[in-house]
Amino acid sequence: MSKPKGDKQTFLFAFVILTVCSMLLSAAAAALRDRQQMMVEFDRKRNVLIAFGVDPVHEDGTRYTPEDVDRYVDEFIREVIIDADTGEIIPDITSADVEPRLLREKRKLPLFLWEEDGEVKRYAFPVSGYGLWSTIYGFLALEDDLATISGITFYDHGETPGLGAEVERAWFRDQFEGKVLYKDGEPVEFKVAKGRAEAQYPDMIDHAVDGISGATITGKGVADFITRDFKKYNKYFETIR
Amino acid sequence: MAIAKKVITDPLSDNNPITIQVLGICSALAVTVQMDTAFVMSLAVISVITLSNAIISAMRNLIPGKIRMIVEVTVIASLVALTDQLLRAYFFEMSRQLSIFVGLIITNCMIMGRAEAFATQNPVGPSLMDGLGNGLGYSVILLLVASGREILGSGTWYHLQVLPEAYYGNGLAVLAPGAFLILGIIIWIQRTISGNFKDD
Amino acid sequence: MDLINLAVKTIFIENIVLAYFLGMCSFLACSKKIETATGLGMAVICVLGLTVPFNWFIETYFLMEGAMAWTGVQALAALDLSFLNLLSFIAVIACTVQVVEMVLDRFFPKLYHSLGIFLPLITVNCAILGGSLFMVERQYTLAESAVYGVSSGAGFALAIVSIAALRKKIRYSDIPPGLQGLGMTMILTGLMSMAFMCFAGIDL
Repeated sequence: MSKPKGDKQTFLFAFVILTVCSMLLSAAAAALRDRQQMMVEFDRKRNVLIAFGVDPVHEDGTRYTPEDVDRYVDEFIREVIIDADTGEIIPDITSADVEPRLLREKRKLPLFLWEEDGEVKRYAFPVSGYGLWSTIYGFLALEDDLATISGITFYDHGETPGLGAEVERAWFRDQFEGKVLYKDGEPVEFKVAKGRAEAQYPDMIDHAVDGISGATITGKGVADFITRDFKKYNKYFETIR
Repeated sequence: MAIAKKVITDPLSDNNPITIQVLGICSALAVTVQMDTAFVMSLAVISVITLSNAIISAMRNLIPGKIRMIVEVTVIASLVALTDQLLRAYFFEMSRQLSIFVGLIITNCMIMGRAEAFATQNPVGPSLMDGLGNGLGYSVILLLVASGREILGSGTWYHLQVLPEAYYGNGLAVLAPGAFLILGIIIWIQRTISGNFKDD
Repeated sequence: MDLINLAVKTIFIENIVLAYFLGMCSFLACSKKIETATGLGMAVICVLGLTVPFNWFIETYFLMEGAMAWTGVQALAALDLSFLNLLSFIAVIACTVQVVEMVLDRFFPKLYHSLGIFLPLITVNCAILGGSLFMVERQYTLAESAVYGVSSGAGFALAIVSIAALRKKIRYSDIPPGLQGLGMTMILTGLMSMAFMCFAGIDL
């Protein structure tokens, strides 16, 4: 900025700066992409485990490494893909084979089966939808009666820390255990109360949990998308129930 | 050496970027509900401002005056995007919690302000120090606000229980108004101590 | 109907300044006089209203994973350039500000003189970049982006004009010296943001 320069130099300078910057960024993004994707994948699997009730922490307090998680996943968990329109399993593919867009639009539904001795003990599936400010992502696990919740986890959201972000805390998630999503032959509308569930929904306490104070809209969002996503999977569940 | 020291220590209190210069307040408020997000944010801002000051100062005689701002923004934006990528790869959960506020470091006026006011006029060494000093001064306030909000809001400090379990947590502190009020009080205390009553 | 809801939500409930803390710097720096506050507010509405939809095009047709499928070139369709979004958004914003400045200078010289000094400031106003980043994060459609852009600008204008009025009102109040200026403004903003939180009760 010392002395005025011609337009030509100005353009040249801008061009050089932009090229250098975007080259550097592209290089960094390319170098880090594998690791980023690995982290996303690891996080997904880890959260499926949490939904299934496995605490991914060793006895000495260290967290599971990606290898530990993979070992579990290989031993117990099998992923299948359900066609949302027909409610049938599409044989021999996993979510890696499906176009990301179809997964995002929930046209193809991944379902995780927890198998012991060749028998399916529990089912888990991804749930997601709007909270207050952002899309909340989580996994919900059901007992083999295909109605009772055995566990839930929320892992990605942009809700207010301390308020909406409380959805990922244990106190909120633990309440879901034992709640029922299916009764008398049809799915129920699940509720997250504004305050205490006993006070607001005394006669449907099996289908409601306490809300987070200060985060009513987040709670309503969570209840709505759990109900909605369960209905999608229910089409398949009806065929095996 | 004395100057270098002054360049670093000045922004810590007497010329603090947030409380005195009124710069970079947006992120000071948004990521301060808990200590850990505030801490990572501080680290990110310190590295971006130090590097951007150094780079811009190194180029200060080359940049055409007309597009000075755009060049500065480009350099800062690239550094921030790089930080974002690194956070995603190595601090996955943290980057998710900070969400768009990592990207918003670009528009942290403190960084732009230091680039414009200091780095374009000073050699690389002092500019680097200036960046570091302002980054640190910014972090001090960030961590103070976060301490106040986490202790009052959740009764914890860096996830350690500091108030008795019976303390229910003051909802106001975690909400937006709490952030404004706590920062207002910190500014009051800081200005009263330093005796700097500049009216802005 | 959804668009009106979005506008109400963006202006009042999720006010970009009072709930998200975006654009705080200019909010504090330019709120000493009501006239300047109004001027800046208008400028922000213009720039946000233009940049958010424009960045929507960039994100949807160039940056997103698979965004370049429209080119019909296989190699381009597979690209995911989303890591460039910060850089391109800020470039778009800087250019838009520049263009708006030139247009105003040419056709509305009077308005240009009253807004003039604020326009360059807007490039580094976090509210502007924040608007575009939220648009990506929340996956708005084109229409939603346009409404979102204009109404977050309106939210900013509303907030800055009100705080300017409040500051004028307390100019001669007896405030402890350390709290004068910035400190008091922060506390006022806190109270205002508390008042705005009441809008969250509106069921849309």
